[in-house]
Amino acid sequence: MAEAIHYEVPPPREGNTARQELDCLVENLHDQGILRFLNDFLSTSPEVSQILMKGLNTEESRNAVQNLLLIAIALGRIPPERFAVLTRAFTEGLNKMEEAAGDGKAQDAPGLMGFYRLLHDRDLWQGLRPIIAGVKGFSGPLREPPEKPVIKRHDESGNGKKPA
Amino acid sequence: MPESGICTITVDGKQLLGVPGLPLVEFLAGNGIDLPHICYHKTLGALQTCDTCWVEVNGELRRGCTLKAEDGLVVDLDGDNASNARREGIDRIVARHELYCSVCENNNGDCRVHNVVRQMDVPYQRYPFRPKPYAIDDSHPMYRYDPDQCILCGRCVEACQNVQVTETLSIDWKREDPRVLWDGGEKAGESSCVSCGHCVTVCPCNALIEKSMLGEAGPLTAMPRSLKRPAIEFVKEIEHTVGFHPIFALSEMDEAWRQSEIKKTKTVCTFCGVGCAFELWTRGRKILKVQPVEEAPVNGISTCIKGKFGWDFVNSDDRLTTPLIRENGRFREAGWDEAYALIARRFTEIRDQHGPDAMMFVASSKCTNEESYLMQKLARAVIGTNNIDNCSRYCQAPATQGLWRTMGYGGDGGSISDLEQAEVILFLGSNTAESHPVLATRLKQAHKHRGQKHIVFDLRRHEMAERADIFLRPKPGTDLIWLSAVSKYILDHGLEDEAFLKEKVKHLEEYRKSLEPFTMEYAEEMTGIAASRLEEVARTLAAAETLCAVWAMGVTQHVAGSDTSTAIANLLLVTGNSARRGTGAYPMRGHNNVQGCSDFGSMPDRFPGYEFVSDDEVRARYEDSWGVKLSTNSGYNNHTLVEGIHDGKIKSLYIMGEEMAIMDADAHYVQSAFDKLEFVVVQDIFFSRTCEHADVILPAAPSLEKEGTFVNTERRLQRLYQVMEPLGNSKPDWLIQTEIARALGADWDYPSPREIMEEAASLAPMFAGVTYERLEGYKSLQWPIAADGTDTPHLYLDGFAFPDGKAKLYPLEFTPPSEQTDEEFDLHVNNGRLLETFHEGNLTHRSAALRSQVPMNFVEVSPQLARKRGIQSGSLVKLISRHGEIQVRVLVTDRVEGKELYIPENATDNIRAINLLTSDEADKDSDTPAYKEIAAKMEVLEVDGESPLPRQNFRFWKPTPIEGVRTELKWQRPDYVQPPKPAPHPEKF
Ligand code: SF4
Ligand code: SF4
Ligand code: FES
Repeated sequence: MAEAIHYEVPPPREGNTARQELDCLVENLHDQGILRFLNDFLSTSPEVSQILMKGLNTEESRNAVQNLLLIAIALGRIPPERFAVLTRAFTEGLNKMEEAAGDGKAQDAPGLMGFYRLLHDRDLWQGLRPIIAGVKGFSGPLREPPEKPVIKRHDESGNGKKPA
Repeated sequence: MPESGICTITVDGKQLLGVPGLPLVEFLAGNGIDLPHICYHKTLGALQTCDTCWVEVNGELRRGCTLKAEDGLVVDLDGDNASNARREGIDRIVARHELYCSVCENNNGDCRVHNVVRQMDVPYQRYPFRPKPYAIDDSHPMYRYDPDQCILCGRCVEACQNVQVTETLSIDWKREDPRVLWDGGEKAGESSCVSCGHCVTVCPCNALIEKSMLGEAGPLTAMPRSLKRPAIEFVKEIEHTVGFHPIFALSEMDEAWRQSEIKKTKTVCTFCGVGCAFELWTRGRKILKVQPVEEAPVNGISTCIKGKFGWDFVNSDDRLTTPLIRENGRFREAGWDEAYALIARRFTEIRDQHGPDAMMFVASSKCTNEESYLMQKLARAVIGTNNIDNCSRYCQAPATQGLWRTMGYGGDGGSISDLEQAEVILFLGSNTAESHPVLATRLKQAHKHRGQKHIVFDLRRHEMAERADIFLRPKPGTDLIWLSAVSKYILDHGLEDEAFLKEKVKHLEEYRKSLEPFTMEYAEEMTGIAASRLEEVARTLAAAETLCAVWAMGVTQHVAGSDTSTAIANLLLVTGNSARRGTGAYPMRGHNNVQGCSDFGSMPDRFPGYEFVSDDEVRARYEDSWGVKLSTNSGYNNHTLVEGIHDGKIKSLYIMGEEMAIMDADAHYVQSAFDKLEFVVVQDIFFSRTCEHADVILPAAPSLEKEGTFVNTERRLQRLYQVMEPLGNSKPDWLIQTEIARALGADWDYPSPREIMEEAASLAPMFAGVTYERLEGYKSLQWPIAADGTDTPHLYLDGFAFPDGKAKLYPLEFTPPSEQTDEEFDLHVNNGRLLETFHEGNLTHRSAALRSQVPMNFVEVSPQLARKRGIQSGSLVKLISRHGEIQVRVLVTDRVEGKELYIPENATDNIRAINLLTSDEADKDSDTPAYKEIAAKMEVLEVDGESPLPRQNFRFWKPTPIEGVRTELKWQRPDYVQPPKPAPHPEKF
């Protein structure tokens, strides 16, 4: 006889192996104190994150992040092969400086005539040109009024539409 | 001259080939060029609101979404003018839409706003973002609208007005700050919105988003709002300096991270016979959202409330997850092996003691074709009986019968696209907008945009009736009379399609003779519809170039359901409306796979593909393959089995996924029969009312947890893929069946549904060309399917499915309904489905979203009757029929008239379920219960009470039909200037 009987389905349980693994994980986390830390963190997470966010939202930290990002962007814009040249040159330059500083020979000042002669030394000029160009490039932006870098960058590169 | 179908255009000096007439956006996409665009959408067309797609033609700026490709067109994409205009367009967009992608739920790779900003390499925010003077609208239970993020692209409005045609959404361009409105108001949750989800699906950003996505989509989206805001502001500060690029890089990392976590799986909906397919986005068992895709063959971007929002039942806490065995008057948990051993022992004992025909097998119209195939194979090959059936017995068997009699195949004559094309559609007893919602949207579109004519015959003023050109209410159960009278009128007045009848149809004279009693006067008297109105219908139908008939349970669930279905087919033949595109007979299949379940052999007298068990040659084919001798005894069906149990002939029952104890007519009689069974196995995903009678309950897996195929109402096979693992210890039905067969000693060894389909296709000529490869992804096939994979979207183009290729007119007589109203039982009770519920509700009641819309079932009472009985919405009444009684709350509505009542079938207990009122009477030709023939009386139990439908239900609100987005009103605003000129108030619109 198949007379009707009712049955309340209990809520589903995890599979046995999953359960065991979970138990084991919980045990380990507890032993290491991680669980307590996480619990504390989670229960206060909105507050903690808000405090963090408040801290970050100061003028100084915004500047720091922006500066870091600007450096990152600048680095990002240099093709790696050129960057390699730069680092090589930089290392070479440092080596030379180190040599110069360490050779112990006292150098006399060139004097006016010596300076004049130096200006006609082709090799020296060749060596100084990039530095001078770099200094020029560097001083150009320094003279300009401060502006949102992003607008400048893109409008000059023809990347964006000119602001009206 | 260009080759036909191909044109050449010049873009930035390069020649490109493509299809003429395509919008430039599409044309370029076909050539690998991605012209920025946001508001343009393949299905919705060019809305012209976003202004991001500008190009230059002959020195003039044009929108690339409206420009059509034609031979010789010369387009400038990269010139300053076009680039600047596009840039102005996107700058305006980001003035309206705050970019905070990493904490946004829509940053999943398909956000149009994000993608276009990235694609155009927009370097920084030119116009500042300004919040709108509106709060987030959280009033809808399933989705959220955020005016701050809305770019006023109008996609949602277009989808609502012109795809779904519910006509709720609009944008008021005249407001100071335009926004999207619901019925002209600001609350989505208090509107005529039917929650179909179209608007959310097409929204290009996060302005409209599924609530199931909130806080769930990405690693950072769960941040509380109180934290999100300062975080966004912090990033925005930095963005002033560094621009979008580095911030975008972070959000793209976040997006990539999400991709690895979010699983997107194609599935096919199980809530009706339309056969919508879509992607389910999940993380583990969490359903993030349902995302329809344009390539889905039936629905494209469309869904209804159930398909879009109704799947949370799969994670319901009361899922059956382990087998249960009846012991000492209660159920206890058991292992699979123990359950199988018990089933094998009891099945064997009963077969040995009473013979195989003492056992009955019920397949499920919700399960797959493969599972239907296995169920009939289990019954026939392993047990040795033809006692196998499915729930098409409860709904569409009469339609199938009517079509077998006249045209040959028991399926829809064409495709949904034929219905769309037709000039006139005749709807009979079909509440299409609620029972087959997405199919209805396509017909509502044809009606709104193309002037397709809709003629509706129904007892109830439902949405299709409301929108119809002609709506007529016949007296219950009299459709055959007016159908025959209309056919007679057409023949008598020489309005028939003579050539068609001559060439393609037999038995005209016998049929003409059988129509003699069906005069217009008789029809008027019996149906209550004026003869003049019926003549108007006759002339309209006869004059239509193309006519389709759509019918459903209002026709079939009567004692003469097969005859009325036949009368519809007769009328179509008389007017020459079959075997041509845009014509034909379309019985609407109610369940997702009610067509397929019969197609794959779960019927007492037919093998898969409708070949007769009694046919020696066919039987020999199956015997060879299965290696057994098959029975030719005629089998019981779902309805006759009840009598069979009461008569002591049937001793055991194996039911897969059907709530028979509630859904078969005359429920008390059914339940008392089940009490008498010796051994019952029920396989289901929830503990149903039917489970209460079981000896063994087997926990099965719903469609999302398994693979297989379904056949929709237009005979279309589609594949579903496994979205998630079966819950707990539950198993897919095909696996359970395979293991039961093995426990019974059969050598079944199906590793997956693919191999089951291969076997079925090798045996049934109708499915000869079906392979899983041919159904890969969104590919589909409509039966019959030849071995080479050629399918049949339109039946009978090469003749009707009879040996001589000719259709048959089938003479009929009128059989009056079994239950008549009288002085005591003075009310007629109609019943059926609601948009928000499926069948009895075992699935949909467990979906929080769906339940929020319809928390209980009820009875619809006309205002006239309510006045007379002194009741109102919320009153509790007892309805008493000649067979039983139920208690339900009242909903007063003018959808019903006079003494006509309507009760939705969504109830799972003996207090409210409609089948406590129905009788054991059934269609004389197909045994489908006469569910629609109920006479009842009403007792008022409580006058005051809460309305059974919450205030937010769409039925209480009035839509605001308009022609679409009305972008011209935006252009007419004094503050609109055409890009590239800078906008004075870009943040406003
Ligand atoms: S809510 Fe509508 S108008 Fe606004 S962005 Fe989404 S689809 Fe466009
Ligand atoms: S219930 Fe029907 S119309 Fe709705 S999504 Fe599912 S298949 Fe489509
Ligand atoms: S895509 Fe052309 S205006 Fe939006």
